[in-house]
Formats: sequence, C-alpha cells, structure tokens
Amino acid sequence: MTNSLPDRTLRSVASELGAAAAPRPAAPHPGGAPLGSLEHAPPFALPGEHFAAALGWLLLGAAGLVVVAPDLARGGMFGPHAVAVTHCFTLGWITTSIFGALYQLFPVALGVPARSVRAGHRTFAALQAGVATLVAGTWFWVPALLALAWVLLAAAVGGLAWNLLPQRRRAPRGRVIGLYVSAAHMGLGLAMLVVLARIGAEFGLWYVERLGFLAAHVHLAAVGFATFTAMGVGSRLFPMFLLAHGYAERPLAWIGPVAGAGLAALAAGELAAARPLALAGGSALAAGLAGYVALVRDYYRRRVRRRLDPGTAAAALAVAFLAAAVALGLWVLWRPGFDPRLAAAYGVTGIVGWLTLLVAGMYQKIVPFLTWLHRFSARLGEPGVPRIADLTRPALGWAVAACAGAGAAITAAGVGAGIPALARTGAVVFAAGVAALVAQMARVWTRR
Amino acid sequence: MDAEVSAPWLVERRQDEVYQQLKRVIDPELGMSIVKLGLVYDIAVEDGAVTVTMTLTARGCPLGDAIARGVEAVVAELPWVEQVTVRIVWDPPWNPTMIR
Repeated sequence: MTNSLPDRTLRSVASELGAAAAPRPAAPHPGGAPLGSLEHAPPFALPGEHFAAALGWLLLGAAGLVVVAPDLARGGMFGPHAVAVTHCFTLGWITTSIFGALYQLFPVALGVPARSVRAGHRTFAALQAGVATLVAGTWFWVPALLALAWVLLAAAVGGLAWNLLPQRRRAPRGRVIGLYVSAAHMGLGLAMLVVLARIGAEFGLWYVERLGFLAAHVHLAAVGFATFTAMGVGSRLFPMFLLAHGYAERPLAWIGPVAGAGLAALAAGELAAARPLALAGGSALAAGLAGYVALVRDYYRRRVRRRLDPGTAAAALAVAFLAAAVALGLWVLWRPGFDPRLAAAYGVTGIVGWLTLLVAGMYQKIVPFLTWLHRFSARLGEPGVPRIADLTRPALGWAVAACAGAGAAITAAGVGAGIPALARTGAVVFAAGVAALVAQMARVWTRR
Repeated sequence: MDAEVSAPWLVERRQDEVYQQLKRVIDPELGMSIVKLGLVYDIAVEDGAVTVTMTLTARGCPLGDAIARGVEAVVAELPWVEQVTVRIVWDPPWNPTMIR
C-alpha cells in the first residue's frame, strides 16, 4: 500500500457509477443511480453553444424591440418586422436556451443521457440555420425562405425529440419533468403544423383565418412548448435553488392536464372559429396557469433560503408577469372585438415579461453552475475555491432583474395604451437589462 | 497495534478529525459546509478505513460527484487514513430543517 491519494482513496461512489473497480458499499438505496451523476452529462460545449447563440438572439431581439415597439403601440402587430423580432425571442432566445438546458438536464434530473452528442450539435446547427432563415424571411417577407426555415426547424425539433424523448422510458427518476417535457414537445410540434398551414396560405394553396391561426400558433408555442417546459423543469429547479423541498410535484398532477386540455380547446376553437370552445379552453388554460403561479408562490413562501439572489428574484418577477399575462389574456379573450394593441401588450407581457425574464433568471443560476462544475469541481475542498455565486457580479444581476423587468412592464404599458414613445422607452430600458445579462455571462465565463 | 487503533477513545478522536475535515467541504451552491447542512449522517472508522455515510440535498443533485470527490480528498489528507468510502444514502431524505 502506498501513501499516494489515488491508491489510498477507494472511490466507491465512482465505482457505483462504473468509473473504477473498488469495493462497493452495501447498496444503501434501492434502484437507480446513487448520485446526481454528471457521468452521462454532455460535453460542456453542447449546452454552451446553445447558451451563447441564445444570448446573441436575445441581443438581436432586444434591439429589434426598440425598433418595433412603437409600431406595436400603433396596432401594427402583424407587420413583418414585428413577426421577425418575436421569433428572435421565441425561437432564437427561448427555444435555443431550452434545447441547451434539456441536453444538460436529462442526464442530471432523469438519469439518462442524450442518445448522441453529435446529433445534438447537428440539431443545434439546424435550429440556428432555421431561426436565421425565419427571421430573415419574415423581416423581408420572402415566402420561400419561410418554407425553407420550416424544414430546417422541423429537422431541429425532430432531431431533439429523437435524441432525448425516447430516453425518458429508461429514466430511473424525474417522471414529472419527463412528462412535461414530452407534452411540451407535442405543443411545439402542433405549433409547427399550424404554421405550415399559414405558409401554405402564403403560397395560395388555401386560406386560413389570420387571427385564429395566430392565436393558436402563439399559444401552442409560448404556452404549450415554452411554459410547459418551464413548469416541468421548474419543478426541479425552484425547490433546488430556493431550498423549498417537498412541495414540487403534487399540484403539477392537475395543473398540466387542466392547462393542456384548455390549450387544446383554445387552439381548436380559434382555428375552427368556434368562439364558445375558445372561451372555455382559454378559461381552463388560465385556471391551470393560475394554479402554477400559486405553486411557484408556494415555493417562494416556504423557502428556507430567505435571501433572494438576482437569479431567483428575476424568476419571481417573471412569475408575476405570468400572472399579469393570464389576467390580460382573459381580458383579450372575453372582450368583444379585437384590439391589436391589447393583444400585443398581452404578447409582450407573456413573451418578454414571463418567458424572457424567467430564462434570464435561470441563466444566472445555471450558467455559473455549469461553469463551476467544468472549471472548479475537481478542486472542491481545497482553499480558495470560489462558490458558484462568486462567479457572478451581484450588481449586474440586479441590473438584469430591474431593467428587464421594468422595461418589459413599460413596453407592455406603452403598447397597450397606444403610446409609441413610452413603448420605445420601455424597450430601451429592457435592452439595458439584456446588455447587463450578456455582461454577467461574459464575467462568469472569464472568471478563473 | 491493532488493539490500539480500535480503542474506543482513538476511534472517537479519529471520527472527530474526519468531522473537522468535512467542514472544509463547502456546498458551492449554498455556500455552507456539508456538515452545517446536515448532509453527513455517520462516520465509521476501522483502523485506517473511513466510511462517510451522507446524503445530498436532492436526488440527482448535479453537485453529487463533486461533493463526494471533495469528501474523499479532504479525508484522505489525514495521515492515518488508508482508504475512504463515501456512501450516499437517501433514507432519511434530507430536508432543510436538518441545517444546523
């Protein structure tokens, strides 16, 4: 026996994960991997490239919002530029972030890896090409580009679904997250089918009623995909970051089905111009989302970690925007007639306020986390190893929450009230928050 | 020699030395030592073999590997330690009231 560390230390934990031959302790837990192992986690480059690209799209979207916000306040929500900017947020920022996070989350939370890292990189490339083509195609309104973008995006979504979703069947844990992520992909697939009908109409193949199409598409994508993913992933992340264990999964057993059924009815009602069905569906969807807001409020109220950091504060603010979006959505749905400014304000509240701020908050938790694991985890226990929070600059984090939150609120107010200057002012404030987020991420990445 | 290292007073002293070492393992997310968090359930010392029985704040905690490696490394620094075993258990499950 020598005195060197590798020989003296029997890495029984690693051995359980198949890393080394060493005496095993008696199995202390039935079934499943014993640890939150990163053994199956993808190389840092896979989520990293997604997050870097997503930040680029967020910057572009924030700049674009400054340009289009006054148009939205004038009721121009169907303008090509508004559509392009919306997709910078929804596909470029939110979807790219979700894809990157899922590659990391599946191995950690569900205990199963992606089927292929190489396919993950290809899916990423297809997604980025698809978003770029779509943004260009909508900005300049070139139907051929829209069709090409659809093909690329379908390849990206199909690739991710092939890579991750079948793995759920082998997962030893994380059933709720898996169910919500699978349902979310169904929402994304349906949103893409709906948009295919719109592209066909653009080529003169058939006619679709624009408002109904738009309502179905937006809700399937922003709620069916993005919000459902947030609900599933959040059931894991909120308790972990807030130290609010034990309240995570039970309400999600009814929230998802109620919201999902409501969403299906709303989309069907809008597409078929069946207003009673749309009203019933929209109301059920609102009830499900309100239940989710109450659940997250519960996480925050019962948290042991009383002091919020910028990331969890931004996420809390995001959930307040979700509550506002639910109320605004019900107003848009039930009031007679269609007010494009009110609908656009609803969209800003949901996409820029709720989803963007939530993802921005989670970035400030997840990216430092992954960077720390990548750079410092091997040195845990040594003096001078930073905490995860040490990788960030709190002032920048608070600037993200304050500017992005205030900016989204002012923009929504300006759009809803029909005041172009106010809408643009809000967009500028929001862009300042985005700039702070990018600076924060740059600091995390460069911290040695 | 064997009789000496298994003497209760020596086992207790060595358990305490291990315990003190474990205070250096800081959960990097929460900024607290795993001892203060209440993650360490038991320390067994038999001659030069140490078995640390502990849990994590949640199943599938992504920091699990890093924390286990940190435990191994700091315990192995003790001159009398010949082998370190880290047992991760989920019963009783950790909850925030276990923070000391």
